[in-house]
Amino acid sequence: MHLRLRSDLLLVGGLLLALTATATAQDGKAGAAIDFQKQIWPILEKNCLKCHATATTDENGKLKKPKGGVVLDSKHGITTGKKGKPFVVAKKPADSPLYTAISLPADDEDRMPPAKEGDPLPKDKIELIQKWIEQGANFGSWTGKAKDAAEGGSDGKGTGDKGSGEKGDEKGKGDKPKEKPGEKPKGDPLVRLQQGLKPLAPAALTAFADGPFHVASVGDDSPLLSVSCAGHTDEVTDAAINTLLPLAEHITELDLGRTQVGDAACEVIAKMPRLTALDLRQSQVGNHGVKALAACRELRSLNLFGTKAGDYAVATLCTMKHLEELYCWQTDVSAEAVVRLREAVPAVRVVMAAELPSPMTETPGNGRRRQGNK
Amino acid sequence: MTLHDLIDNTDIEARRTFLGRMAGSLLGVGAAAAFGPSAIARALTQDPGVTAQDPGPLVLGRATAKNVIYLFLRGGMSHLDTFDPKPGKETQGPVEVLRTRADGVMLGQYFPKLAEQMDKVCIVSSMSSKQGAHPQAQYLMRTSYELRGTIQHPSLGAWCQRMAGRNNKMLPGHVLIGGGAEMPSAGFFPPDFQALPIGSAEDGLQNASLPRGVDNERFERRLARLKQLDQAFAEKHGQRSVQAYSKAYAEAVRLMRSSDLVAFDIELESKSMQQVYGETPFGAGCLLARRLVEHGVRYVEVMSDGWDTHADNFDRLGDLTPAIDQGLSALLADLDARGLLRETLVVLATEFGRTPDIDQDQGRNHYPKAFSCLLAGGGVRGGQRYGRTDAEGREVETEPVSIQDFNATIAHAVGLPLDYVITSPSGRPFKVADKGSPITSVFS
Amino acid sequence: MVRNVLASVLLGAALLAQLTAQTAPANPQHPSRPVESVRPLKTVKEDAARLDALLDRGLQRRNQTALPITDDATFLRRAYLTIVGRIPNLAETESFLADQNPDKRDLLCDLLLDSPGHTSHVANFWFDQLRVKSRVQDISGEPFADFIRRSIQQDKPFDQFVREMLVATGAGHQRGNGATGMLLRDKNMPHDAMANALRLFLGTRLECAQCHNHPFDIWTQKQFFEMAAFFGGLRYRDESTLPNLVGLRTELAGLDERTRQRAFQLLRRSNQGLEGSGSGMERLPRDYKYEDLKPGAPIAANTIFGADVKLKYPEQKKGEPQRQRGRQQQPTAAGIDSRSALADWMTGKKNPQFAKVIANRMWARTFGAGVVEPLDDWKKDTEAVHPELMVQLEKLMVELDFDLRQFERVLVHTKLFQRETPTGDTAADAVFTFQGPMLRRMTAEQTWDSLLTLVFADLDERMRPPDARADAVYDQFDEFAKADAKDLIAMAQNGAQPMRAQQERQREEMRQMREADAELEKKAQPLRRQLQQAKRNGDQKLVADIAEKLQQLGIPLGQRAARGREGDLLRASDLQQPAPPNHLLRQFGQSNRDTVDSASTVATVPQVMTLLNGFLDQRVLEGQSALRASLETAANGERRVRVAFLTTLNREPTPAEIQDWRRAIAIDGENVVKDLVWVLCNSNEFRFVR
Repeated sequence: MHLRLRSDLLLVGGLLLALTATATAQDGKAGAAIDFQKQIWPILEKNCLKCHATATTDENGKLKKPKGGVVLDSKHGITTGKKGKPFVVAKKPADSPLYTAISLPADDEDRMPPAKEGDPLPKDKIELIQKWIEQGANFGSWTGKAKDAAEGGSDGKGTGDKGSGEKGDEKGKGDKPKEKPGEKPKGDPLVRLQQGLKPLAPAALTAFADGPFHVASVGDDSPLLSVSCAGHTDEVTDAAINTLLPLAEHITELDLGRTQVGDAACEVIAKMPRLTALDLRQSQVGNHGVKALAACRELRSLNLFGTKAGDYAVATLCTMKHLEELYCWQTDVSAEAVVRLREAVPAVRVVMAAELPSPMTETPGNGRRRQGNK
Repeated sequence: MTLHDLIDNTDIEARRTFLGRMAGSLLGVGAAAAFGPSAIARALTQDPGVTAQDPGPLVLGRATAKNVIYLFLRGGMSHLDTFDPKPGKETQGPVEVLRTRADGVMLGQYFPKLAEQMDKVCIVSSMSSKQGAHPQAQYLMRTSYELRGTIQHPSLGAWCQRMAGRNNKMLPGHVLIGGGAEMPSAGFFPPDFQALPIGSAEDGLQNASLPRGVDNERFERRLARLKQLDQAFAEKHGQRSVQAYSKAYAEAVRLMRSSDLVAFDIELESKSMQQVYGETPFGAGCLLARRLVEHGVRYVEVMSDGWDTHADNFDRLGDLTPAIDQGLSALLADLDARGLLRETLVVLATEFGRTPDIDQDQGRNHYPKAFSCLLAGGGVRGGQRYGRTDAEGREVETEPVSIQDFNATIAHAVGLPLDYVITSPSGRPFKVADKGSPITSVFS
Repeated sequence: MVRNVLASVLLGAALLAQLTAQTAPANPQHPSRPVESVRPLKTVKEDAARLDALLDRGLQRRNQTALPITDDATFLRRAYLTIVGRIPNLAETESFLADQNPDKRDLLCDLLLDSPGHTSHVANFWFDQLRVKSRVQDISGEPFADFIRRSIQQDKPFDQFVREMLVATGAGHQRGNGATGMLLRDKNMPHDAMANALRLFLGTRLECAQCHNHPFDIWTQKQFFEMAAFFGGLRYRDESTLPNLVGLRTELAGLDERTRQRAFQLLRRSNQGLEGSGSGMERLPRDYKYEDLKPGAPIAANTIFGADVKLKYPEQKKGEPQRQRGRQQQPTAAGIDSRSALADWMTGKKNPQFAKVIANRMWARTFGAGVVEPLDDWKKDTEAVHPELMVQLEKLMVELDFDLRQFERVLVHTKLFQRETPTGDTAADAVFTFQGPMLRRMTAEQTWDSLLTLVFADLDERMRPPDARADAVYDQFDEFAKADAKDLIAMAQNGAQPMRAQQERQREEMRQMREADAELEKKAQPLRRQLQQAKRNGDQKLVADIAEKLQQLGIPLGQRAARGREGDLLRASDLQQPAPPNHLLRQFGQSNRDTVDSASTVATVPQVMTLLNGFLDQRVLEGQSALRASLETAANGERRVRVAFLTTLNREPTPAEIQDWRRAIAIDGENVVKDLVWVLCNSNEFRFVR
């Protein structure tokens, strides 16, 4: 990565390395590991527990809850965190709220401890916590508050490392997709489709950097690809589609809207077994092309808006049991054909026309006349 | 050449390798966050691999939306009279209530056309913030951060462009219709993330074709000469503001040559289609937004002004709402029929609500404690109301949504990683929606 | 006159005629008295030297040195843009560069400060700060703009200017009462008006405390309402003309809805104004959540810092029920002059912030950054880049009795104003220390006015009277003030649209201007034809003679430039405020006037496109612009190259540039000259003020 940099920058880089090397030689990872109980716990105890201890009842019988639900007096509390996000992520201080909250600038509302509660932590303390996280946020044998001990203790030593280490390491292997909150529920076809699918070599993708296609993972480092060509619709012809063949196994979303492609392109598209969404709006595709698409057994969404597709095309779609959405506004598709399709594929939603509002009867003065005064 | 510049370049380099990794997922032109000396100081004391400046490779989440159309009603739209009506209560004032196509979801009388589209819309009626001054609240809404004298935060559109890149590399990634240059946009990001402002949707993008008598060849000659002159100037003046102009020129020329330029011209739509959207600035803005999204512009904002109804609230709403009712309804129906609503998140937002109590000028005043925004398309389940206010629309009773949560929801839909940290030139860490958490349950 | 004496020292006789023509009182926005008559240059130079010395000391402390003095051309361009808001025209450029007088820089600064361009440029500044809008709902902002233009022109001391705006009452559309504009601008929002005034005049941000205690500053919500109480009892209307309208309701009863609507509209427009000298009382909001006071409790005016203010509250009569609801229902009594007390406190010499803040703003306006940044958010721990300099600036402001033109005069006579700009950005965490002025992109208004200078060499001559835009509003009001119920109904029935009269008048004025242009053009036609002929014959002497004749006729070549989408080709300060959304001014970042300081100088694509494909080719290179005329009369290729550079970048081309372009011109004359101008106007050198 440094190959293209100027030599003076290399010099700076070298200097950086040299300095960090001395720093780590003294107290870094290679040398003394930071002992949580001896070095970190006292800092938390002194500066944080006033507000962030496990809920207790004080002498007067009043329940004292931890502020913001943040509990820092047990390993369980720290590693469980809040809303599913742990307060420390091993080796990643920047992702660890325990570190980021104390290192914010003094005028930030979220800086801990808050301005009215006390001064910022001394720099060396902040750095110590940072290093501890960098080293893997190892709690040693400490588990903190007794009532969490059972859960915390059973993890045993080193769980912290494992729990956070795997996130980065195993990304992109595609063996088993992670469920994330908000992700499609179990029936998500992509989860099934990407099982056992090896991601393409980066080289196979870089080849597309200069072409008309925009190729990207569908997200979460999935090996499945989404392909579009906005900005290059003029260049995307039937011939150009052939260049997608090396990606055929991986393409699950394909947007060819407003391109020049016609029926011939559909023969190529038919070779994409994992295709779930195909956008052909305002392309040259017609009945015969759509017929070829019957080979795409996984197709969920098909956009034929503004194409030459007609009833014949819709008839060929009757075999596509997974089809969920069909857009055929401004085509020759008739209502009868749609009725037949619905009989064959009851779950399909067919949009035949836009339910546009009636036009505005008079041009209202308001939008124009009224200009806000503030 | 200063240290500052060097660091800047390392970042470009880092991004190139990242680009290689993400293959086609191209971001804007060699854009980069600048690192100030404090960042250098920090780098000297830290393992460079784990500093806040290098949050690791950016991995986008599964997006439910490819594009965002963000409609913003400046001035603070009354929630009671529009999307959170309280029939029978005194706070409702004289406004009647409409049933809609979505069971149990009601609207104020001003939205008869939108009522027919409510099966596509989710009302978030439990918005709540503490910011009751216009500039501050608008800023917060668009950036997720408090307005500060010391830093300009990027808008959500800029974050989107920065993290997810452009869908159409020939067109700007972020267009702002009916807004001025004062709206926060690129913030501390490099100027390439500035939104393209379109003053009026009816006029579209002005001066995008060569003047009479100047052919391509001559234009090229002009540009070559200009480059020569600017180079001489740049040698003496290395300011970022100067560099920003080189980038703006490159962008403008690229845009002029794009066959997608037609996207900016709503005159290419039939007269009847223009009437369906309503021939108002807002309606035209919605129509332009639809054209831009069709052509692959990822983030389009349309501004509507005049919602600060301190006096004559009900008359003013009577004037203001028809354009919104018409434009938004047309946009939703049209996008849906084109198969674009499934991949386009339509947002209608405002900076705060208005007081439940009506004053003797028939006015309502600023009220950030409870207000309503809308989400539609882009994977959001329509026909629902998320969150409730109390019987008089004064307090949020269930499922409060902060401005940051709302923006996190938009970011989540586009697949932006919410915990990815980007550092400002002054070395402070920022995230796309600050500490907001997305409302995942609104998605289907 | 002193000015003329100075000018004659400075300039050649031929040019003098032109310049005096430009600066003669004939121009309706000419400053009322020359700067030299108020304060001798010598004193000003001493004040300036004191500032330079303090700055030098500050730089030394930081181990920095001041940058060298710029060349004449850079200074000339900077002086014009900074003081009068446009680039110099060809004649102005050439005469200055040719002048051998060692004091020519000083003389130029004073000449510019005395010119109408200065009024225009300062007006833009205040329009921006005070968020002047030509129209906000039923309120015209033109009387306010008129008030601002006149205040500048008359050198109204800044403290008086602010005071007049804080205490103004009466009808907003009445001639001479434009000072009501500031508070009317935030009609029905006295809290916002207070927050804006504090921010603008005292550099203090209190607006966050409007809803809650300030999270990272010292202000409490209670303090905000104590300040807001100074505007207590303010009513946004003026009912002085109502007595004339007795019986209107009865008269209207039998009439059609349309006429009634119209009548009420007329009534609303003409009743815009301010009533009440301030009750000094305000109520806390209903959701006030701090324990010191009850929600909705009445609260008396109190200042946030500086001197306390004593107000004479009327004694509460027993048994009189207190009104309970919002601010609009407070007693409408004349008030207890709390607004006047506010003005005393705010603009008084004892106010710890007032002089400082305006001094710092003026400094920032001249040099690109404040000695204290940000300009409007001073806090307890705020530290100036050069503390002693800041102290001196404040002192100077007080000494000069808030005469802003004299203050600006001191600033432009400093050495700093003559120094080169730094060549790069300040590091992210460092502050700007003023080794030289900051490199800045022209503001939107400077850009527009400079581009127009290429079209009209006599741009400032075309400035309009300060009340040109407000006149129709005043007339309308006068007519209304005289009207009784019957008259009003007649006005409503005749469809009297208050603004239509104004538009018609403007249209008429523009038509007359065009006609005058056409008249002149008729006279010029034969000469122009001769000019073409002479050029074809290559008779340089004849070309020069005819050009001279044309000038003498009073026809700066090119007055006939087309009028198109940009509307009127007038200085930005004479146009509608702000310009409409797609106007070149807005593209280049003119403030929308919604929030304070929302002007911008950021690069955008539409701006670039306008320069690439729009304004230049439509207005400067086609039609008859001043620049084209000068190019046409240029003797030869080299002269044309020089004219192009001198008119746009205001410097001589380098020998390489001359050679380069001359060669190209020899091949394809006409087009290459146009390309040259296009290139120059698109360049960063054009848009940045060095």
